[in-house]
Amino acid sequence: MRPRRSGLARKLARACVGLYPPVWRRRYASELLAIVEAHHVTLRTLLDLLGGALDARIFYSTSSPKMSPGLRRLVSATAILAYFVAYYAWFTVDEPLPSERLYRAPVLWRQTEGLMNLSIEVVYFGLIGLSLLVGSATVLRAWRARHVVWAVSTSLPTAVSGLCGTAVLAGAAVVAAGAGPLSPVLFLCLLIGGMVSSLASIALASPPIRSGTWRRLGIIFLSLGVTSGMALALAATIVFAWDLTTNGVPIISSAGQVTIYGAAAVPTEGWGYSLRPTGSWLGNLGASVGLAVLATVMSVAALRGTQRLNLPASVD
Amino acid sequence: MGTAFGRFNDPALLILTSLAAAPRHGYAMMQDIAQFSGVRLEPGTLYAALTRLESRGWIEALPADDRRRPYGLTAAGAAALRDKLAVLEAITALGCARLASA
Repeated sequence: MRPRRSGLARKLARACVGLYPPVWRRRYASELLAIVEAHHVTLRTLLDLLGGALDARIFYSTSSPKMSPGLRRLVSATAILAYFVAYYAWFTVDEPLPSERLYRAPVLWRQTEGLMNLSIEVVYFGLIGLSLLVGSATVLRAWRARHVVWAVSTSLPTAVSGLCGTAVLAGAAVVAAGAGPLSPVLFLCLLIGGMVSSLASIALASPPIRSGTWRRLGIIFLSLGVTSGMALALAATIVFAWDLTTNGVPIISSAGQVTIYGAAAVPTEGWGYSLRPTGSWLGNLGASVGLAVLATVMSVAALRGTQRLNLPASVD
Repeated sequence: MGTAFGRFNDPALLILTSLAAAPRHGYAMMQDIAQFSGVRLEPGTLYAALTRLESRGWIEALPADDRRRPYGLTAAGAAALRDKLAVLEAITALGCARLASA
């Protein structure tokens, strides 16, 4: 063997070996490091090791027969979750507000509109994030930390590809519509991306489709869907927090005003007219809370199915 | 081999050829391959191909000597190598014949 060389190149080479997935390192790192210590490390060696680390991550996340069942369950659960969240958010956000013509008192309509917007932000956005957080907390509680590290490290390439897809969607939204970072157009793009890609990933992850190319395609679709869903939840949580911080008191006072206006109008306009605005926002809020709770329960149930992942023996 | 190994097709062939002589550890493979083919495999490429070959059961890890683990050719690996070499032989013969007639 060649005499050992010390220096920056060898340290960088060792760092490159650290980029391989943990499961791979447990099996091969010791012998690979022995070669690196005996090898004349050049820039080509470093680039080769970087490429090898990326290849190992892709190979272990898409081709290892020991990891396929667990990864497939995780993929299916998260795809269903992302699809459900996107489906739910799409139809609830798309629900039209009552027409202004129904409210002969403009101030009453404006206050009702404000409360409807509040219910959208609180329920549609905030609880979407909450359902994802509850699901994630369930997984974190069920798995030991090293299992989570394993899952994250093996899904890194798919997460990166999904992030790139989401970035393209967001960029297209900004360029096409001049949308800001938290604009409805961007939300719409994330929702559509999440729905379409999650549906495609569920279809491609079905048992009859097992070939490597289609499976990789399915994982890329899934990554796009999950990343879109997570980006949506993050943005929604920011919007919700921002709105509560800046408009908390006016929103609460709006609820009181709508109730007072409605009650004062009973003698002249009748109960139907008076109860409609309050009923609109209360009914919307109640139905949305119910749906959000259902979404959370389904998310937890789906993610609990991933507790018994078929982890490789070397992890334990 | 080509479909399963992609860009690691050639390194896999070189590794199988190296192990056809005797079990070797990674660094010995790199030296042997450089000697008989002139190709200097880098460690990342070597282990990407080794991972695939081992997952297909064409090579097997033998008891480790210190940190250096030797690998040996399996029966399935030998059969795959024979098939690949037969294809290469046919291509070589055809190429030579066409060059001679050109």
